[in-house]
Amino acid sequence: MPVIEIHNMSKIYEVGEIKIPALHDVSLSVDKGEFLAVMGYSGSGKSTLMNMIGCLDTPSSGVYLLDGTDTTKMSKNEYAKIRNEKIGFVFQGFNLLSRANAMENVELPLLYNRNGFSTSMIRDKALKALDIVGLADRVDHTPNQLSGGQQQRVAIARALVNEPKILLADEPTGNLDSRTTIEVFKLFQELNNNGITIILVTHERDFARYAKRIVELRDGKIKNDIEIKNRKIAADDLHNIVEIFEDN
Amino acid sequence: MRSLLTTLGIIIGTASVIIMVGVGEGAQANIAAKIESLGSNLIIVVPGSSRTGGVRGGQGSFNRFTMSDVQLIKDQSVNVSAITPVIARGFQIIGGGNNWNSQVFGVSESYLQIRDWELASGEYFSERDVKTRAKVAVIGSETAETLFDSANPIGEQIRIKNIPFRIIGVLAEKGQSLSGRSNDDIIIVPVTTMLYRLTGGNNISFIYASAKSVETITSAQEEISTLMRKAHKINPGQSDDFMVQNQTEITEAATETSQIMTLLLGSVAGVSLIVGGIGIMNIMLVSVTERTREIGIRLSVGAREKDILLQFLLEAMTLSLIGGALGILLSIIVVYLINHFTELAAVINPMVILIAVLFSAFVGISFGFYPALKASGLNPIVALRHE
Repeated sequence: MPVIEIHNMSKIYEVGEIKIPALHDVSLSVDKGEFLAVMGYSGSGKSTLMNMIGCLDTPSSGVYLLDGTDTTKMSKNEYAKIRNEKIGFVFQGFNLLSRANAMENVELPLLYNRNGFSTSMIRDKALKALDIVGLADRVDHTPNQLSGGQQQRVAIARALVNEPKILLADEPTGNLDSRTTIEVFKLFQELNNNGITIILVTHERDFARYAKRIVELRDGKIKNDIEIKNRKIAADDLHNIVEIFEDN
Repeated sequence: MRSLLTTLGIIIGTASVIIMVGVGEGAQANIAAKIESLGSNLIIVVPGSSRTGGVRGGQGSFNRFTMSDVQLIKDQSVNVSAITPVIARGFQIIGGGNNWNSQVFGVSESYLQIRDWELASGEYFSERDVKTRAKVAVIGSETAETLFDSANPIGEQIRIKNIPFRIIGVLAEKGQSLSGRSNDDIIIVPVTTMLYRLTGGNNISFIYASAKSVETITSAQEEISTLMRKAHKINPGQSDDFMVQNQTEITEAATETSQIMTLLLGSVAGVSLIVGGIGIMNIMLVSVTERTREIGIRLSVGAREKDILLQFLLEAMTLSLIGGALGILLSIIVVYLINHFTELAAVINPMVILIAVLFSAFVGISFGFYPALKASGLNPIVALRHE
């Protein structure tokens, strides 16, 4: 059973009198363990699609089945629960709390988890997530004490801390340099190899080729949906960059 | 810093309420204490029929009291343990080479007992002194000092309206009376002597009596009322031309004005507390706007509307509770200063402190509610785009 099933989804934004169609009759199916790259020009509807999948917003029409459950008629609290437990979101601008340190930022979703974790459990889970992204030694740093790449990794740790099935990332490397970008994609590929479904938005074809499937949007519709035969391995690319620097 | 300025309104508001009520209650306690110094189980009968507020009112009525009124009550009442007529008049006093204008009371031999007043030295006049219109006097401690300095006045002579009186006793110190005059600036002579030699006529100013016990005060009052009506030949249906009051009633009447004042002052201070609340709402609204992105982040990781609402409500309440606590601290300091450096007396009422704390928490919740509601209603995507 696919973990995400979208049937004929449309979204029209209403700004006063004006109606802006963002998604038009989109249908999409994603299986567990897939790694999708969503591409398209600005205004093509990719962010809107991500917001729908992430339950940050609701479609105007259509059906969205998440893990087999129809999300269309859910309450706000149920959406909040999905955002907390089933989905992890990573943003281009990191969106960390600037006055909290790395540990506190990663703990945030656990505080809203309805399963009532104890303080020590929360701490352990957060530490584990930070360990996965390789930042266990920076737990008490605040965002302004971390580099862009480190901040994004904290954000990824935060997205992982409730052990969600799906990781959504909206241009996660847009603010990062190329080397850090490849490091982040290395992390994504590792996570994906361990079973988590990843859907990310990017407008660079080079980076999209780290994914296993590319979905192209144009004018609110799906233009292309292709599987990548020989995807790039970020770990290898990283290795090559290091060699180049060392040679010089 | 910003939080401190915000809570300043609450601090001042809370402190004001506690201080205002404290000053008011201090004034009331002051009055009550003065009335208590009049004596326990005390019943005061004054001429006059309008309720003008207790001991001081009721002057200038037509039927003045006479000695026969007193005798009637003495003979026929059951619950009255002692009764004394009182005539109060001012006279020129000559004594110890000094001249002094003083209030002179003409009373019976039971006056000191009724007034719960002890002698510092010497003795009081007896029933015989009253019967024989003896020219004896008992003076207050202030009078003694004014006329005789530190010399022992007992056995000395004073002239009241140029009539010689022998001093047989000095009263113990009593302090300030209800009217503000000193209790110790007084000369007491037998009522019969006063009537016969000093004032003439048959009229007395008022009557003091004491009931047998606290429980029988009301019955004693009723008895006196009935007998006075009989003595003054008042028919049923006609209103009294006198007032019979016990200490509690006098206290209540006297403190009524200050109670109203206290309430008024407290309310004004309460208004300032509400203004403080508006300050909190203002800062919370600003805070919500500034933290829009933060709210968006929280919503995106799974916070429910209720979580956001609670978060901001708690912050508002914390602000106002801290303000309340600091206000209480401030009020304690100010009350201490008032008591030490001015003539006003202020008391800290624990009830008022409790009410102030609850009220400041309530202010925090009410004025924080709208901003918190606004915060929780934000759309996560819109909020995340906020800078």
